[in-house]
Amino acid sequence: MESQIIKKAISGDSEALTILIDKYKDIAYNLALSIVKNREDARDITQESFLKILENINRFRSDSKFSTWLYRIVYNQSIGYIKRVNRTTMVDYSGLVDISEKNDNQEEKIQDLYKAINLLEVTDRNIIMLFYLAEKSIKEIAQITGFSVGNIKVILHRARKKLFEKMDYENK
Amino acid sequence: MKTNDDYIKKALQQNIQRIDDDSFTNSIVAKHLAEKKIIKIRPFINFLPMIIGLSTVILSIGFILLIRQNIDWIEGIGFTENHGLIILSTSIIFLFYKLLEELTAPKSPDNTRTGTNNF
Repeated sequence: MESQIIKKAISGDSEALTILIDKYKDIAYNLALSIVKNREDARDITQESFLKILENINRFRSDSKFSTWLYRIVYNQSIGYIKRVNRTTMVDYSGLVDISEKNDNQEEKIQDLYKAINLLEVTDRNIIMLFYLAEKSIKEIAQITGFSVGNIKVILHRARKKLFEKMDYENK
Repeated sequence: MKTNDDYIKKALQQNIQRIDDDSFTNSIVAKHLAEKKIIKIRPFINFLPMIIGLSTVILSIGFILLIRQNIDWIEGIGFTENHGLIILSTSIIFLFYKLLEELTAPKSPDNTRTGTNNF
């Protein structure tokens, strides 16, 4: 199904292009946001990434998932951006999250989660987002970030441990 | 552990941040299609200077071959092998210059290259 949409997108079918962008734009944006911590910059990076993806879509090889290829480009664009502007310690990510229509207890727990995520290092935070939000496997995260599978396992284990500790989940 | 994982996944997915711009997708599609159109037009190359350059190369090689065969009318006009080599070198330089100029010329707003090879 998706391969057909990609084929259409390669030929310049605007409907197929729209479907692809709409399907992945939010996760791509959140991935960029978790790295650059600034809404405007994350939006620009997402836009640039999509333009790059569409420009090179004919080079996409279906030996990996389209989403893995896409997130790799977003990841590289975001990492490249923070290296350029050196803004790794900017806005508090937890403050960027809109949590509405939740009861106080739920809201507090979610705020705690985002605060805990915010305390993680960029790499750890990004791997957490890929694992939980984008639902990527360890192998896919390794493909996206360029780290080895062993490295990802170690980073993910460490990051989850930190998250659970910060959120005081261990004893619950 | 599994409960914690499920909770984090659910919390992140339910509170996913959305791009608050309805025109986001359309602007990307429009930009992409516009760029694609430019790329399609871009390969326009005027081959005339290259044909002239190539012809000069072929002609000068021809002259040199004629001189080497001691053809009377060539010797009669005082054309030597050195003259032939000078024309050959000049035409090869001209050819490379035109080729480089065409390949490195920036794109003009009307989607053609700004090299002098475009008329």
